[in-house]
Order: sequence, then C-alpha cells, then structure tokens
Amino acid sequence: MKKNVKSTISFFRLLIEHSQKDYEPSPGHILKRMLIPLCEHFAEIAEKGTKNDAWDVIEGFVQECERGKRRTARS
Amino acid sequence: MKREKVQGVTAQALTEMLSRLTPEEKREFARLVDLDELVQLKAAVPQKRRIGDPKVYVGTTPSGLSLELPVEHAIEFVRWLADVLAPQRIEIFTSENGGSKEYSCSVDEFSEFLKTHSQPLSENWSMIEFDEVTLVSGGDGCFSLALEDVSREMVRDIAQGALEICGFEHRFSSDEFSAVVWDGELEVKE
Repeated sequence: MKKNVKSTISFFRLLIEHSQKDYEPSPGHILKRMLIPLCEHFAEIAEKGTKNDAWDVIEGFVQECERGKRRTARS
Repeated sequence: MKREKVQGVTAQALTEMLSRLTPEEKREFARLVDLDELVQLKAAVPQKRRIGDPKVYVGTTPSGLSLELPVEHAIEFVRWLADVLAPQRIEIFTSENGGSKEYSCSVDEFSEFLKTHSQPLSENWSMIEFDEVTLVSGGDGCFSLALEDVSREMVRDIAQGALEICGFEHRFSSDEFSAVVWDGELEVKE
C-alpha cells in the first residue's frame, strides 16, 4: 500500500480513536492533530494520486469504521 | 431504559426544577421529600466526560494503543520504541515544506535521523513504520500505534514504558486499559 494512502487511513483511525476516549479532546487538538493532517493528505491524493489510491482510502476508512463500531458496541 | 439512567435523568430534572424555586418553595419542598432518596438520586447522576487535553494519556484501542504524551517526551518515546521493537527497517513518511517526504533507515541510523529531524517530527504529522508496527503522529505528542500482530504483554510493556518516560508508573494487568493524567494525578481504568 502506498505511504500516503496508508497514512491517510491511519489519521482517520486516529480521529475515531479520539471519539472513543473517556474524555473529550479540545476542538483545537482535533483540528491541528487530525483534521489538518487529513486535509493535507486528501490534497496530496487529489493532486498526485490515482483513482485507485482514492478507492483504497475509502476502503480503508470503511474497515476503520467497522472496527470502531465493534468497539462502540462493546462499551 | 436502565434504572440508573432513569435515576440520572430524574435527578437532573429535579436539580433544574429546584433551581427555579423561591426560598419559601424550597423550604416546603424540603419538608415534603425524603432526604435519603434525594442523596441516592444525586449519587446516580452519571459523570460527564471531562473536556480538554490531559498531560498524559495511554489507552488500548482495537488496533493497539492511543497515546498523548508531553511534546518534550515525544522524540524520546519514538527512540525508545525503536529499541524495543528492534525492526529490520524503519520507514518514515512525514510532512515537510508543505508536502510529504519519505525516508528509510536502519535502527542504528534512526537515532541520528531523530537528532536532525526532531523538530519537524515533534510538531508536524508523521507516520513511522517499524516493520509491521505503524506509529502515526499528529504532532505535539499525539500518537496512534497499530500493533495488531504484537502480544498483549508487549502492548502492556509499551504502555508502561510510555508512562515511565513521562514520569509515571503503573503495572497494567488487563488486556484493555487506559491511564490518564489530570492535574498531575494518574487515573487508571482496567
């Protein structure tokens, strides 16, 4: 898997993990540490990536969503 | 609806109602109600999630670990993690000059790499692959570690090591746990 694709999926995972913590992280933390990196990744994929890269990202997001749902259902 | 939830909602409604009563009405209310019942209701109010960013957080996730470390310990943690995992190769994908850049090095070379890249790695986003283990950082000590093929014991060791780097000590015994530092106090859930 390409680095930018794997990294994009990893930042989406980081975002999901923050929603499942026992505390609510500050909006500034979410913005700087997750959303801005995600936006930069999206911009790079849109500029330099292929359609396959975009599709791989979507598939990775779906897998992370499923994993996140399982955890939410357990808690 | 669970009994505790009903009690919590009732207690919140009572609190709201009481705050609107005049002093005379409050006295009349206190004459009519059973104090023990009120105390019981107060105890059942569910604790709200704390808002803000703790000094330290280490907790298990479906993929491995989520960590929030003070930024001054971030590079020390990354260096220590490389030593613990001892991978064949380390690959770094990081934000640099408004774009992304890839690096690759051995464990021996990694220490030198960290010396020359400590500032961007501390402040910007990065993904570091230690063979099959992937560490992603949003910067400022915010990490997610994907450790799917690593033993639960190793996950606990890494969590304990991260806490120790930040000056806190706890031996985890469960497979799922979290440890958070608020106001200098370590709170652990297992």
